[in-house]
Amino acid sequence: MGIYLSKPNIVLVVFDTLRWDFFQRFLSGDYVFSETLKDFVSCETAFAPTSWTLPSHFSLFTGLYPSEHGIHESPDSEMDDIYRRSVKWKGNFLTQTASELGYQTIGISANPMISGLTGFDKRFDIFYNVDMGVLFNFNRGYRQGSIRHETTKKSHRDFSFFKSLSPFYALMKREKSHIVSVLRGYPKNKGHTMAFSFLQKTPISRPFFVFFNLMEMHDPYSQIFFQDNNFLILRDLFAIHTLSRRRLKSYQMAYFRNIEQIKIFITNLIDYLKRKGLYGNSLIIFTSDHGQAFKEHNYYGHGVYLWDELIHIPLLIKFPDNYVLDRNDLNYVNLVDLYHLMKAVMEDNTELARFLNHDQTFAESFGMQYSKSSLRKYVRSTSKAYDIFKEANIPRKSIIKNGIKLTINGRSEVEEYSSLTKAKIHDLDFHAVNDLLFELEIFSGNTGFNIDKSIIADGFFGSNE
Amino acid sequence: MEKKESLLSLMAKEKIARAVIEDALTSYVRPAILWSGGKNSTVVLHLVKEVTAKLGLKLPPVLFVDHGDHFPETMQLISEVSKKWVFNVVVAKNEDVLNHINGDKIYINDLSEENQKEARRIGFSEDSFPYSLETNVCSYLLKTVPMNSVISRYRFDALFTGVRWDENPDRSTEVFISSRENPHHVRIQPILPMLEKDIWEYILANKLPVHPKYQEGYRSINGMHDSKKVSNLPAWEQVLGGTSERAERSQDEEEVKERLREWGYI
Repeated sequence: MGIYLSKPNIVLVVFDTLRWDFFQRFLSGDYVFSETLKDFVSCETAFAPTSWTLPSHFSLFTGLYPSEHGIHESPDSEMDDIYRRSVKWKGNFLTQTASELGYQTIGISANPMISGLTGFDKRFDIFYNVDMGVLFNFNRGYRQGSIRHETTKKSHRDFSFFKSLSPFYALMKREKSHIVSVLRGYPKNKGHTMAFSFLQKTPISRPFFVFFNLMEMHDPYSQIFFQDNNFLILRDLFAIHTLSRRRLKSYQMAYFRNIEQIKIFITNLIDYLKRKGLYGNSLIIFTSDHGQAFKEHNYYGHGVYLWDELIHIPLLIKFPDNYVLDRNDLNYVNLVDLYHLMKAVMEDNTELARFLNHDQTFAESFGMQYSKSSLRKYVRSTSKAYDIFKEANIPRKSIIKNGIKLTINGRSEVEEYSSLTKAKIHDLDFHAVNDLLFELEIFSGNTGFNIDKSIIADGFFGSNE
Repeated sequence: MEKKESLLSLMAKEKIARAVIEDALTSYVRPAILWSGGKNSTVVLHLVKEVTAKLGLKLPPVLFVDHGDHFPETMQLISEVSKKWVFNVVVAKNEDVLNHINGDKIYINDLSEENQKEARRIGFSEDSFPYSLETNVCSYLLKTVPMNSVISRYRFDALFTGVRWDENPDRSTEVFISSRENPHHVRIQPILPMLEKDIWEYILANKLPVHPKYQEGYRSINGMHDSKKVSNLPAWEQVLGGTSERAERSQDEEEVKERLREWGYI
């Protein structure tokens, strides 16, 4: 065993856009995969603090909700401003703590939003961008040039000697993965093998904290070569060109089938850690940053809303060998709690249950996260689109407590009042609802999000089972 | 040495307090007001109420530490004012300790593991302690521990308190906004320069709700068993007599307060 085993290693894998229910369904149908995960404790009540990547990751790395770290959308903010704020953000970031505690920090991201664009590269000792090429990024709504690939001085890039000699060869190789994946269809590798290879080639000499963001579950799910995914989402959202049921079904199928890629990654990673003798003394976390809506509530995509399909996420944790925790120790875990868990493990704190066992948790969103300038053309196109925009572009807060989820929007309307077990809530328990509203009101703080408690009497709850 | 601002006018002190409160309200997401029903925290509550109204914000929730030995009038005052001024009250209470009062004692082994750890953390190593806010361990478990627990649970990042420089020399080094750890938050102390007479002038001028015990002659109010009145005159009339407002409190209690401050209470 090497010197780096003195402290637990930490492996944090975010499967971007993976929702809890689909993953559960996949697991229940795959006994072998379930066996692979037998050392992991699964939390069935894990939630993301919001429903899109950047604020969710900031919560994961700072232990703060979006309203607390401030990296989030607002009804009138431009995406570029949010990116700039995230680059400049100064505060306690997990990787900084990790470095101070002697950890080597390695970031591997296939998501252009978790990159130099948002300052993530500078926050790790080594940072790899899984660059899938121009066509792939165009397909995801990212223009070439919007993603900064510059990384820290210590970082590694996927440049081979031949690529650097021949720009044409480099271009062809970069686009090959996209072209091949389009031709093959789903399940589609969206960079996880490249991400894994980065870990394999990184020399490790001390306790390490490695973070992956993998995009296998992220849209687009379309096989159309040059289709801008945001274009498709926004045209559907604003009822300009609604997605057909058939197409939606095919996207759902593609999404579900791609969990197979996650299985491959997890199996490879666990094998690798075992082979290297690192498995036992590692804290390994598999989770997600948000879910994906397939129009369960007439919305396709993620962000904006806080429906269960958007914030209920899987969470699997394997604790280092000397930590004894079981399923009962994990209750209402939010990504903000994982920051405290990882920090505690880095600090050799063995009392971890208090970071993972809560009686309630929250989520919040602040409007539409899409670029306001790009929204304009859709919003102005029809009066219906304008109405939809006004309805969507407001803040929202959710609380999950005692098996009930309550979401209130900025107009003090109840958007969701549901049971986590999907059982119907037959009788309105005024005491329970009052308690949820009380908690939400305190959570809202002085962010200007006001809750009109008369909504209890207005009958909203009865119609939102 | 005790720090006092004797020559600054009350109006200037009010302006300072409002500026501090406004700064805090615009800097922190989830503030709360520590309110005991006593005169100092009532002034802070009123000042915050006015500033929030000016800023178009709602009044932050009030954090009330229920140590189990309050006057019934305190509970009634909290209930009445919270309805009239419309704010949420978050009660910090160590039920475990209060449920294990055995006669007039509390046995450590009866307490939860968490409370036992907390007691050990401040160096307590005996088997039991008397149920009295005048002892370090009891005061710590009934005030500091539940208060910190509530700050963590509700993620309060700023706590308004009614600390004043002239209360005792320990407080004279306090600043308007100071950072605390475990749990991480800041203390907002907007009325530091106010003297006791300033407090009463402010309360009377603004017709603020007054705890009935002040009318009976108590100068400061804490637990039923450790607050003693020294005169039959209302507190505000005694102020002119020149006695210290904490004169009726025992030396033990002052020492306990000093320890509690070290461990994170106000």
